[in-house]
Amino acid sequence: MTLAEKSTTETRPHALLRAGFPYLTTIGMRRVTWFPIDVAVGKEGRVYTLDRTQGSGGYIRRINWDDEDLGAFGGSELTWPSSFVVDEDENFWITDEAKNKVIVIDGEGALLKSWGEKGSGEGQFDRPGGIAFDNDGNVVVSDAVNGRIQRYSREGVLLQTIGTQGSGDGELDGPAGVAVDERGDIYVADWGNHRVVHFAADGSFKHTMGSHGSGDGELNRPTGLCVDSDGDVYVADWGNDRVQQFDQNGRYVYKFTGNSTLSKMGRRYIETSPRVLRIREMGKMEELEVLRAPRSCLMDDQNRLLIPDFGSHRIQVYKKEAYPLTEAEIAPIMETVDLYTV
Amino acid sequence: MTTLSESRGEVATGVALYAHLLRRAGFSASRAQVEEYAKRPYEEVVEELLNPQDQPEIDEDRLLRYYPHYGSIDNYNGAGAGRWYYRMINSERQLQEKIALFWHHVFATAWHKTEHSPTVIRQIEMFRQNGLGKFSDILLDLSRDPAMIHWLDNNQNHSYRINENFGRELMELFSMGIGAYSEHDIKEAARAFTGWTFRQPMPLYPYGHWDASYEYDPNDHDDGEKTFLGQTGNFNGQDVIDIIVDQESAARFISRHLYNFFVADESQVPAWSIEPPQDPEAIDIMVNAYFESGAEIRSVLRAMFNSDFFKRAAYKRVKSPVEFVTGVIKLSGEYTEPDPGLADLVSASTAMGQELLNPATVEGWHTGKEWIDGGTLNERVNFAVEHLQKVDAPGVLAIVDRLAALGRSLSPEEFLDECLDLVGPLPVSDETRGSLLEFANTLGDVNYASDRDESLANVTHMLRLIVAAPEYQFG
Repeated sequence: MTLAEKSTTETRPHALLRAGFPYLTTIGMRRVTWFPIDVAVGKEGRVYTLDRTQGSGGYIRRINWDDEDLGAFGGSELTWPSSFVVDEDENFWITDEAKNKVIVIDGEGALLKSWGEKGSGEGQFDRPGGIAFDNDGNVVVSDAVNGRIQRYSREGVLLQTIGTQGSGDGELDGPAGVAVDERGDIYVADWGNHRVVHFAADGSFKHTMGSHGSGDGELNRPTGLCVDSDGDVYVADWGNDRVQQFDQNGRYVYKFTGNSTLSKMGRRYIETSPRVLRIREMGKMEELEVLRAPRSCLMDDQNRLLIPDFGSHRIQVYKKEAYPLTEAEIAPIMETVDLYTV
Repeated sequence: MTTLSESRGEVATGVALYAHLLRRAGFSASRAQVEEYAKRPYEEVVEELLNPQDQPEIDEDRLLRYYPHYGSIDNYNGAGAGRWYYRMINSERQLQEKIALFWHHVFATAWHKTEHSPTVIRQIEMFRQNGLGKFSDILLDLSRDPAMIHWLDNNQNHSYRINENFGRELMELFSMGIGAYSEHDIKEAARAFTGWTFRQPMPLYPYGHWDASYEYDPNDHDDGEKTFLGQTGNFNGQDVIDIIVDQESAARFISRHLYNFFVADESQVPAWSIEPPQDPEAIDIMVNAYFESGAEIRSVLRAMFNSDFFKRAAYKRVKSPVEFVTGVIKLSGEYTEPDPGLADLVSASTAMGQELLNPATVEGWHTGKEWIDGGTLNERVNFAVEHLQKVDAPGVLAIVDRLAALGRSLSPEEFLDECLDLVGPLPVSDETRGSLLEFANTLGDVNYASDRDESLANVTHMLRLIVAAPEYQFG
């Protein structure tokens, strides 16, 4: 199936009965998932975080849903890792915004391939940020300083360039995270313009979501995003310390500011330290819940939203509860608001 | 070209004067910036520098995008220092950063006691905000600063059991100096600051640091009558500060600190009770400004920057490691964007003897010639050479462009004079000049518009020699 054919396939529900989006769990802790800048889900319950270490460097941390630390790898290849995705063989495709490369490593950290160099020409990058697979397995990369999105084959052959530097429709300023939906449409966290830009698979501009600010539906330096099978878009609203949810039409739905509890590994760690336990008892509990500078998010195939809580070294997880509605089950879109009481 | 002996002690003029001002009120400026400033009246430029709040705030979002942990509360002192370096290099509010560095010298608070980075970093932000204001406000904010409260144990200063540490240093190191108060005054000051503490932050593990904030506990405050510096009353901490800032000893002490930091090297602080200032008239001028302005630091600096004693003081200070590093980077033109390597700048000044946010003791760093020994001098020269031998460094290219723009061949002497001029202007001794000329003579006459590679090679070689000269250690 070609991308064009895919874009005409409609798999989404007509509308949703949104039951809620409760907090589910927290995994990870400081010095394990240390400054997680991105998250990915592997097979057999494995969860990976891309950790950006202080100064320069980084690595991938492997944990699982039981909150067990399964080790780190990849550190020798990375300087400023920005974003990553995991493929069907559980290899990792990583953007490095200092090396200006896409770097591919396996689960032991061995380098499989890389491409890219600094520049503004074809096949070159200047601070590559986000990375995603499209539905044909090609690689979509945001090229921040050049203000564009590039699509590559897995062999590193440039297939398509989308967007130009600017602030108008279809233009980008320091694009960060990217995501591709089931139709092949591309969503970009347009960092410098404080918005999300939505492109069709052919690169044509469709619409934007959000504007600069801190209110509901407003964004401050969005850095990452993901899209689910209902067409809902989740945006890591870095400058506002939250993740926001928009529906497929760009309407604001919900915001996640943090409801974290104690992860298993966190609990195990501090239970051995009476002084930490006492100090924790003297502090304010509510400040422990919040998200701090989240840089990305991920919706897995079980409707779990994983938010790497960058500033708090953990992953907060939420569970989407929504039920599809047919056109016959829900009233048509209303032109005006109403105080009608059922 | 002005020689060292000719220039030292003379009132600087022209580009040299503005470059001197920008080295002291900031962290130096590119030659193009200096020349732009030099088109305007000197006192107007001073006024602009004294009011950094009128300049645009630095946009740190790009820095924090590429150095994300610099924006996290859970970073370490090196991250705070790296972020500070970026600001010192790029902020248009140069004096805001410089005055923060000044107060960091005076109120030396270190990360190593608690490793609680958020409070240490926030203290520097406090100095940015209040550092040019009234001395009483600065001391009041300092007394409420969680980093300082913990550093000098005021969280252990209770109504039922005083801890004198903060009360003592408030007077000895922060405001008046030894000899201006008695042991009894220390005890009374400590009583006045009982109950000045901070709210307990959550622990570092498992999710990183959390901020602390000032908290006054009236139940732990000694409300009794106190006699402090000859005055008696039911004093709280603010009353103690108000009494201190009215003392002539405070005006003289803080003026001497400002002179040492911004004008010329003084003896080390512990010797001030026995060694008079090298320029008593200068201190008198600053003390008058202190009292006439109600102890406003901006006013004291205004009197200082506009004075002849300041204009005569070019190259009378040994650059601190932080000034040295920022000066080299501003000359090389690097890090105008958040490129990898800011941590290396932090490491460099640490190796030169100044670890930002982490002075060894509350006494702070010894300055002047004590910055220099065999090891630190080697670090300085190596750092400068490393950055100024880069043929793609914007600042190096700018120097070559200027030489090329002359459009004619330069004799060895002309080449040397142009390089010294563009680096400072930097006056050098006859001996240094002779050594530099030895190299220049090997080049012969060169037209720097003709062969780019040759020009770059000549300039980077000459820059390496200049920054290795003793004169380059002064600023």
